[in-house]
Amino acid sequence: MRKNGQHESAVRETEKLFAECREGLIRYLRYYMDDSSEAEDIAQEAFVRFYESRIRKEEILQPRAWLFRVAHNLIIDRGRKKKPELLDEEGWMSIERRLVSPSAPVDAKVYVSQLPWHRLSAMELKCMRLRTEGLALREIGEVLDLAISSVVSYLARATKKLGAVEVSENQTSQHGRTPAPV
Amino acid sequence: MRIRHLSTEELLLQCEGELGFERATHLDECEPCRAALLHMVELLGEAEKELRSSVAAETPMERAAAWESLEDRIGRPTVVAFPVRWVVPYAAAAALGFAVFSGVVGNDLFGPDRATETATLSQTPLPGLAVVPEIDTVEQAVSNPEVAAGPEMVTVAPAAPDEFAKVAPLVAPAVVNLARVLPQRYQLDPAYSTTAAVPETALVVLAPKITSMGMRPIELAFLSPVLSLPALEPRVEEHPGEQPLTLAAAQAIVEGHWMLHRAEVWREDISPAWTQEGLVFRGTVENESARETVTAAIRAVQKDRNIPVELAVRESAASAVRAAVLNTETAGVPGGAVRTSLLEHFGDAARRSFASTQPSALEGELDRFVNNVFGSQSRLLSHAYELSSLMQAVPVELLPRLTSSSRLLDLVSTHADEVRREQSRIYDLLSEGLPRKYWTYQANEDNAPPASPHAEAEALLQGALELDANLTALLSTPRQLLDAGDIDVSCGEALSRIRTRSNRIKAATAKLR
Repeated sequence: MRKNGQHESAVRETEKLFAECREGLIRYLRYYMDDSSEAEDIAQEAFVRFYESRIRKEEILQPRAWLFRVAHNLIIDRGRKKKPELLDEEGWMSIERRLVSPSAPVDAKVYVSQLPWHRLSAMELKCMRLRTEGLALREIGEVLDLAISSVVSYLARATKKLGAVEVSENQTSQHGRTPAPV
Repeated sequence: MRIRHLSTEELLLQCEGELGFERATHLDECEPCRAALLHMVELLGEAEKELRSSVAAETPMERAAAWESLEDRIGRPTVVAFPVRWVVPYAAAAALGFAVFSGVVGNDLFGPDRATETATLSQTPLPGLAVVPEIDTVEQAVSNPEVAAGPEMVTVAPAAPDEFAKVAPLVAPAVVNLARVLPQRYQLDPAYSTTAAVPETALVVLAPKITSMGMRPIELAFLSPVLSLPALEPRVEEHPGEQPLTLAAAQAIVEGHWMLHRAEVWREDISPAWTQEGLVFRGTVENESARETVTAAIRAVQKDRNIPVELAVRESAASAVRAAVLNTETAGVPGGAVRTSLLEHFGDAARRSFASTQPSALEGELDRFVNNVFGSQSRLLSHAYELSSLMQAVPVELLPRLTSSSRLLDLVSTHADEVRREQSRIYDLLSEGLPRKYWTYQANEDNAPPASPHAEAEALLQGALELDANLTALLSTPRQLLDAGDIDVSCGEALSRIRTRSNRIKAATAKLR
């Protein structure tokens, strides 16, 4: 009976987290992998792990950050295990068919960006993506295993590269020294 | 006292609502800082919008399906993670395996001959499955009154040995399910009569083939064609017009490769082939213009010989190139996973040589580096491929007799030299800009025993392909923006293999001379 109650409670918590984070998590995962079914698998695995940890009554202070961190580690695990794949003839043919097929919606898929994303480093981009998914600075630090000051620094650098303006006049500090560049 | 404006970090903290009181007070008083904050908010909004729109939104139906799938899993928690997309294939494989097991047990492969056995299935009828007597031949089926009058029957069940009768109750549900799934193909036509012609079912047509191959069909009649027959058909490779290679043919093919090399079109998708009419060049080129150019070049080196040139035009090449250029979504990021590392390296190099460290200049250096690496890799791959196809064209048994023709050895030696040269270039480039773990290898790391030149050429090509895949993973990772530390890819092994194999091929040609 007690076990049933625990199970119900864990399922409810998982459902709540699922409703809150599923879309953002899938978006975050899809950024790292072209295969949407693989992203689905990782997301589901992350939610199952959350459920299992609730069953084991482990303490999770920031469920959202915990979920993203588990998913992030799963991506890295898969990336490490995955060997480069050599395409066989059929593989090349399928790529060629996809490229030359007049019905392939190539133009519709072209992603036109106004911002210079290519200038961002991997870590800066990760921080930006996690912030986009609604994670607070502390949670981003939790996911990426960084101090909050580092997260702020990465985000600041990212925004500068994307075109944020700085107030340049009167930059001398109260002690008469120029502040160190960020 | 001068006023210190808000830095970018502080503006960001303000956006997150975590800026300290003192600095927030300054913001209230400072117009430039408020303008910068406004710009920052707009920028972050735009960035969020772009990042969110980069992946298509999920529909409510997909979301509901995902939750159902998850609910199934957490409703019955398991220890081992099992990807959802494998469920259907695994279930199909399990059902098939069970069916095979049932068939093998029912058949008793090591038991007495089927002709000496009696039908026992009719004595223990399976629940929900109608049973008719055994039918061995079409004539027997036609003359059998039960069958002739039986348009209602479910399937044709042959005799089964005693073992099958024992396991029948166990397999009954599976058999009934399979009978539902595979019902009509193996039934006799219900409309037939004793005078009408019986249609040839798949079983009737294919049974003699099985017998002639020395194999006995699985006893469950409605399973046997599905399980065994498609795989039993031998695959026949067809090369219309091509003849088996004789010494003269091999010499002609080597001559063809030599002509392609002299015409400087060996990189094209063209190869010499030996047919009934003799040597012919076959292949595919990009467009009509390329066909004319390539044909003219080959004709120029033929002199008075009139070797046919059969070139097809890859009509869709232009659209493929256009699509590849437009499809920026799949395009890799310059520098890929090691982008940051390379940019830092170029920045350091620029500082040491008092050159500009502007981001655009560093990006230019990065582009040049990546282009050089992939340029060398492309050339290496083409030489390795040509080497492999050249060795494949000459059978092993003919190789010693062909050595008198120095053209084969010249070609092999030239390509092996070029492979070695490009390998050195790639090694130099990687060692210039990347940490050791991505390129280092020890001398003679590839300790495989020396093999025939054919096997060495094949191994060389495999090494070149592996190097290509690794370089792509490192330097042009599409959308896989992991840190360099997250990717465990080294080009060292492939570089070592290429070096060793090209050296061995070179040594073998020297020995043959």
